[in-house]
Amino acid sequence: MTNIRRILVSALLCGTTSAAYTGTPVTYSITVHEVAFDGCHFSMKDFYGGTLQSTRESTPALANYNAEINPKAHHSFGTWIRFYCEKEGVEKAFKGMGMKYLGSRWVLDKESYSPLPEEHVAIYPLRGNSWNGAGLSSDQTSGDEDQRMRNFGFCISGAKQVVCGTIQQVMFLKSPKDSTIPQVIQLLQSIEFIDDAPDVPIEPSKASVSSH
Amino acid sequence: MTTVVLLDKDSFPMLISPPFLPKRNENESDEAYVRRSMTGDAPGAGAFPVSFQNRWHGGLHLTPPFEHNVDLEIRAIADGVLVHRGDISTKSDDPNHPLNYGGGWTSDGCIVLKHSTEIGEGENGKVEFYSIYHHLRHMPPAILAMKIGQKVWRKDPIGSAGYINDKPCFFHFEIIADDANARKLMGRIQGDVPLGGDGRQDACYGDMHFYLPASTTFSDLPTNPHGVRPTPRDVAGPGVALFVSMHFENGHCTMTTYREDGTIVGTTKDDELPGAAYEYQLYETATKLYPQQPAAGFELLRFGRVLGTADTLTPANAQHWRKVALPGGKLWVNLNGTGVVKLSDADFPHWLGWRMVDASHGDLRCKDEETLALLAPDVPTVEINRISDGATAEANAQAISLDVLRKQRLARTAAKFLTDWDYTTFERRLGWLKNPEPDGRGMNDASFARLQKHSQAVSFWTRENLGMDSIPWHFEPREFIIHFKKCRWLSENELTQMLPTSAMRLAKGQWVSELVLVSQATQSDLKSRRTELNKSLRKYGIASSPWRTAAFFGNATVETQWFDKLYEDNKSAWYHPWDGRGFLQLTGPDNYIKYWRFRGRTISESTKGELRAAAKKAHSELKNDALQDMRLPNLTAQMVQWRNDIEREPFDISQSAGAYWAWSGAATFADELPSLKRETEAVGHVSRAYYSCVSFGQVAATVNFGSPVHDVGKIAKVNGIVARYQAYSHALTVLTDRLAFPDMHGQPQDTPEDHKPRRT
Repeated sequence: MTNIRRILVSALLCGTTSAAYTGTPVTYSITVHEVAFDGCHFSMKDFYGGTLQSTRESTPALANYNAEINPKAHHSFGTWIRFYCEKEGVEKAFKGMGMKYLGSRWVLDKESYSPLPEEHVAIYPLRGNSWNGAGLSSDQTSGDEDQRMRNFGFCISGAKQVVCGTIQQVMFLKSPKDSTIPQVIQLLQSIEFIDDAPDVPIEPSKASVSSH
Repeated sequence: MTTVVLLDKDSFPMLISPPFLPKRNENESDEAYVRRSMTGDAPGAGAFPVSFQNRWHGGLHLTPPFEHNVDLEIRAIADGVLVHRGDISTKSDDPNHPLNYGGGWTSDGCIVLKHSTEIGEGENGKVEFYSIYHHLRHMPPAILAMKIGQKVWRKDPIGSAGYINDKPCFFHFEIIADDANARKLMGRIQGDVPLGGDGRQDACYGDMHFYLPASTTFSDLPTNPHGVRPTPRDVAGPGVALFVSMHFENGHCTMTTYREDGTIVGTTKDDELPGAAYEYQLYETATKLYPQQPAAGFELLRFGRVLGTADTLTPANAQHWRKVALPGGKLWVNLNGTGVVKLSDADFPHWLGWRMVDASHGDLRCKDEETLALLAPDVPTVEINRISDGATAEANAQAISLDVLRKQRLARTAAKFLTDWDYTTFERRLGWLKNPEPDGRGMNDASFARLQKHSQAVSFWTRENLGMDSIPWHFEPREFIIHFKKCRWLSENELTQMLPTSAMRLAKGQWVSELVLVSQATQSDLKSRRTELNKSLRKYGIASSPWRTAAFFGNATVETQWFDKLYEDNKSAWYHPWDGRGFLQLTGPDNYIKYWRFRGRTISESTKGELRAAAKKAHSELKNDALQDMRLPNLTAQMVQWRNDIEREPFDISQSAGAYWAWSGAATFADELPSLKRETEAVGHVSRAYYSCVSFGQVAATVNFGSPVHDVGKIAKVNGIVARYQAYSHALTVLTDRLAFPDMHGQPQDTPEDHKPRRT
């Protein structure tokens, strides 16, 4: 059953994300990684044959996901997601990433982050199983024009856990067709928190961003 | 100019400077500079911790240095937040005015800053303290326009010294903290440093200290060329407990032995080996003395103990022999021997005078017997110029030494007592003055009422504005600043400040100047890597001076493309996948192997040979086929993991850079006082200035080329050298108190031309 499901999902993925590829889609079977670090614990479905490991020697501990998502891109690059466990609360976590929840949508938190227009900042709502969050991409504006990159930061908030992370490169600005943002979002949205049941039932009105 | 930004809750770096910033003398130590900058107090008239009528006094009365015919302005001692600003009253001749008291006018302008900072890792490393600047006669417009809760930055002008009891050009300067923060700052709030075990690890900075119990044995082997461990040949010690301090500076290491009363037994320098520069050789010494785990051995040599957990000392009881002065001569001692306790300045050693007095339960009369004894010594101060014969000279020297220690103990007192600035405690503090005492310290009702009005006029304290009750711990500001200048644990905000706001580069043969922006992703990455980076800067001595720290960041920021890339990931480079990783972009198989071996990992010579041959081939072909993992039979999955760790593990990201710094000898150049030369490049039609510096250029070349570079002609070939110079100049302005940057007319300025601080 599992195998059949893997194949189906894999095939479906190739169909839905092929626009991001410049060459023949590379098909991987789905792996479910599980990682625990610094008080956070989650699983993530991996569609790209990558690795997800917590650091072993560093304080605070982090988790790293590494994969070659788009090896056939014209100018390929590795995808490296750094996850860290945010301990200082939901609001500060998102503020630290330059975002806040306003009304019914994620917006730029201009108190903490005032990007220039040429950074082309964009916000992406993220939604997973029992959690909500958002990601923010911005462009490098200095250095060799051919090497400039788009980066991506995000936070996701479960009932008890808040995980944030960064990807320094989701695209070479010269090759927008090779952007890996769709795949990164797909990876992130597959995250399921483990041991994240609230200590006490959360009333919808008090559930902070995780209830949106 | 003061920049005002919105308050946030981030902590600020433990970078601290005196409230006056006169020009620095050449080769002047931090301590000498701070002492010269902060003068004016006198016993009975603005001294700490006890002043007039033996009353507790929470701060110092300081007078500004005079420079270019003007008094220097008072400046914020650290980044902080404005929590109180007391308006300045117009000076009045009315003798009944509450501020005309005690002989004349006292200015009432007042600024209080709250400093949330870090001295180490974890919750105990996060501290808050306040600096109080009282009796100001003037404040700059930027400060007057500020709202409570807004940021003030270190070195920002905040006012001018006013009048204290009619004495012009004085202000009251005070540093305080509450119980919880005093405990975090000093590691305790009562008694002496416990000597039952090693000192704190969450904070460790400055000099290292060792407690040698009376039972310690010594060795009399005459020499210890680095790399040859002396065979212990026991010699009886003096039979009394001693304390040894280990101080690194400019490549050298001085060991000073103290008795418990603080008197000095003697010193040794670089183990008294001719021509040695002990600190510069720490990497070589660690690899020779501790071949199984040099990285842990390096910590043993630097800290006297292994603070980290990633690298463990092998064997666990590895010895650490140093030559120290004893009452009967100089002998060797194993500082990692049984019973030896290891501490650092973060433990505020009591034998160096640090003491804590809790006088919170009384009024403002000092009744602490030890403090009073220190104020009124039995032995009168001796004037050294009256020395005539040898015996008198020795006696006088002893007396002077004791006098210095007495003053030191007094200054290194942290005392908890009622603040002078809370009017609601006036009766409790000074009510006793209404009852004349035998010594005549009494007041009649009218006098007391005048004092009460005066007290009210200069009080500002409320629990709301300071967030703490009015019985804080008071620290002697000079000693506090001198002490915490040694800390240099950098906060997230500080690390970000280290990045210049713009940089130049050559693009298709033309110079361009670009803004250096910090994305939220990069900011978050810095946050998660900061602890390990700080530990590495501490371990490799990079944090020990602003010159070294600036030289490190002048390179690290450019090497990592402004902290964006911890892995070069240049698939077209002939050396890929052994391309740059970590804060200084460790590159090439040889350097990776050197780092792994330093960390005690076994790499066979055959594997090294295979990788070296592959690198040679790749270099000659200018393509990386030979270096691909699948082409290297001896390359294990474990080694690939280790290679990846240097970009993924914050520990390795930082340690690889520190180790590289150590073995490349970068500090030998970084330690030279920077001589900054203004140069320009044309950016479009605009001439843009930057500051070259030969000693930093040698650091940059050493980092970029991989070995010490003495030929200054090679500096120009360093990749991105102009941007590195700009990053270095920028870091210097963040890290130092005052430097001279020549302008286009050759006149010294405090900041580089067109300097824009990064204030986030």
